[in-house]
Amino acid sequence: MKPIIYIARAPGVAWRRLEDEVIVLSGSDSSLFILNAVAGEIWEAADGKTTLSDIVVRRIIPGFEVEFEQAYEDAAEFVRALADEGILLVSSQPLDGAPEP
Amino acid sequence: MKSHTLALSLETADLGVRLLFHEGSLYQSLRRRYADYHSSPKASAVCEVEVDDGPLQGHDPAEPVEIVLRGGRWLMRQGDALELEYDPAARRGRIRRNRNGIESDWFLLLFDSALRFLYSLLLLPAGGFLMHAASAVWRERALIFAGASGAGKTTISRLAPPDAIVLDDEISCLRPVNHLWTAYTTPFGGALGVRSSRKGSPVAGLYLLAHGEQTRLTPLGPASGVQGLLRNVVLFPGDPSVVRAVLNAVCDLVREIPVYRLEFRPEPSVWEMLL
Repeated sequence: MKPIIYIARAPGVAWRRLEDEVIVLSGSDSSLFILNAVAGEIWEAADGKTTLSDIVVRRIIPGFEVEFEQAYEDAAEFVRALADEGILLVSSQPLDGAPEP
Repeated sequence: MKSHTLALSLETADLGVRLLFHEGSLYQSLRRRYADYHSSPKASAVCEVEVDDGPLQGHDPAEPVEIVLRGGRWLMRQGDALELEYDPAARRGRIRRNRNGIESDWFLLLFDSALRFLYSLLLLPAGGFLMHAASAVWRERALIFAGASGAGKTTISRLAPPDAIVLDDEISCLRPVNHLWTAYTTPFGGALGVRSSRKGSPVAGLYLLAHGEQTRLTPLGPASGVQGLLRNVVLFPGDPSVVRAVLNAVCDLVREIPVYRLEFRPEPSVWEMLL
């Protein structure tokens, strides 16, 4: 059983999908992040209303042929990294996130 | 009540700015400085900026440039010498200057910076931006060479073939016009005496400059292209809508125009690899 985690794109962050990758630009300091295909799926699904477990089940496992445990651990690590950068919000409650690009 | 007003209408990238002065000395200096960018006083301007004297309050002389967005108005301060306040909604601005040292070359460079900042804001609604890049028109198409100071913008410009027209060697202006990315000259030139032309030229290629032992042209994927270009875009963080507009503009550009990494030795043959 995984903890219930909601993730949302931080307000003030600009992002755009370009082919298989997602470009994220921080509004506070102009830091740029390039997310690969898996990370981009998680980013796009980070609406603050869908749990991380649901994102992994619905968007990662079907598209990338990976087991849940491994996919979840990778996703949680990615979420921690972007939260540390201040561009992703993490909560045990639903969140409001950044607007669509 | 001011007794009279002098108007200086400038235009670059089809965007007109009307500067209003209440005395003639700075007006004359700037009229000469931006001689290639005058537009008709009757031409429509996207904004008006009143140029007035200080004193400037609360400015830190040691802080070279400060840019803030407050109450929907942009404020750019350059030490205790000059400040620009611009209201995008009203399309009106005000430049206040400290009279100490006015019209020196240094002061005129500060005025360039204020105008560059203003044009960066004006270009956003048009989907365009300013970039640290040299640009040249060759065979009727514009080539853009982006890079920080020392990357080789002036060098690649000096190596241009005789039939190429160097537009800029420091700051280039790009914006879409009728769905076609177009490069324009700006009044913010660098070391070279560049040839200005009010007419835009369609962009054919974007080159991220790097010094190299050999001359090598490497195509970049979209994300790498955006990453490389964004490093050189004149960008002012602080307002999410500005950051979003710049990112969208650069992504749109990269979808349309090929981006390359260009390592080069300073030899004229480098141009043979382009186009």
